[in-house]
Amino acid sequence: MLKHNEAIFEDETVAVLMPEQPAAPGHLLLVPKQHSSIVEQLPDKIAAELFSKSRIILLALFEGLGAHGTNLIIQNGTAAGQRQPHVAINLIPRWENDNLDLMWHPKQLSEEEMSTVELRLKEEAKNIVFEPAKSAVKPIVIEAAKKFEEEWVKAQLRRIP
Amino acid sequence: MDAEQAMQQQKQECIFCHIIAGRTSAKKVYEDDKFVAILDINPANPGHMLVIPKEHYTVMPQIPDEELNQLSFVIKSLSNACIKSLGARGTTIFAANGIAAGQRASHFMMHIIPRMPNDGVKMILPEHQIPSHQMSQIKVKISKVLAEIFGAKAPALAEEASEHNEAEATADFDLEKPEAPRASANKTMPKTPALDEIADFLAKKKVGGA
Repeated sequence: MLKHNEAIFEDETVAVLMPEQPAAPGHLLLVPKQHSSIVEQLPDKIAAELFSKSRIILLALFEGLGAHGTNLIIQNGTAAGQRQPHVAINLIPRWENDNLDLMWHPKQLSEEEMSTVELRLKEEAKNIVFEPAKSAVKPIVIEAAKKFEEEWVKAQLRRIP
Repeated sequence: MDAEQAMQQQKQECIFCHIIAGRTSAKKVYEDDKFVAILDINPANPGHMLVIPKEHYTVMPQIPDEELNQLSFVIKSLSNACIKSLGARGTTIFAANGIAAGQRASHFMMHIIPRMPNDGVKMILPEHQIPSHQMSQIKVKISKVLAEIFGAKAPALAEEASEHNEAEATADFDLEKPEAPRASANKTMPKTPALDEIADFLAKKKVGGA
């Protein structure tokens, strides 16, 4: 499904691949070079690196392909549709009326079900403590990002409800 | 109205800014100095969370790296929380930038949807066959922008890549035969049977089939 000769960018930690059968023209996969099967196994620094690079690749989809929008999707685990035992971030350019439907249908949950889930997650989330020193990656300062913010965001602002 | 004024107006009207400020109630499951996670009131599955930066950003490319570092940690940790506390067998992590991508609010957010096998959440990435010349064009365009942004040399184009280069590249990075994980000083999630099982199941699953 993935061919390395389709890597369109790589550095020490990540590679950007083009899936052979993309969801849309310009669909990219950002993968860490160090092997992790699922998101939970990613070392903090690699996870940070992936998010930081995702931001830039999304920018490249806007700038390079003139996309109207972009999606970031991680299928984490086979229950979520993951096919390869290697973490991959799907970065997908979108255009108005592109006929790509990625929206889910909401489920009706009772107030009790919602509260149960809330309590369980809240209890577990108490253990989450972010320690900046452990995950800091070198910030990528890019002029293109500033230009993008000025132009693209300005154009979009009035169009988002 | 300039961009700054438009942004100010957007913030004043933003429901998520109101939630963050505590003026609107929500089922908050996590909060730190930069992010909050609340339960989506229209969940795809029980436990569907919205992870929201406290600062009002419209799209992901606006978020500074320091905050993205933290966001990556929060997403990973909350995904883990879905597996540990709700018995989820996986998670879908989703973000939309722009209306064309399905964005409905002006405040950027990431969704974490706990997943179970055959849970009926229809979120399948279609697989299209795109003509190779079109793929090559896309590759050239994106490579060029990435090279500009990263200040690197543009990677060789598909047509120009020699057999030799391909062979070399395949040897140092092969998805089918992942390297043994390198010893890392970084903290990973504490091992839990559920996580191991999910990862093992993936590893055993036949790879490469459509």
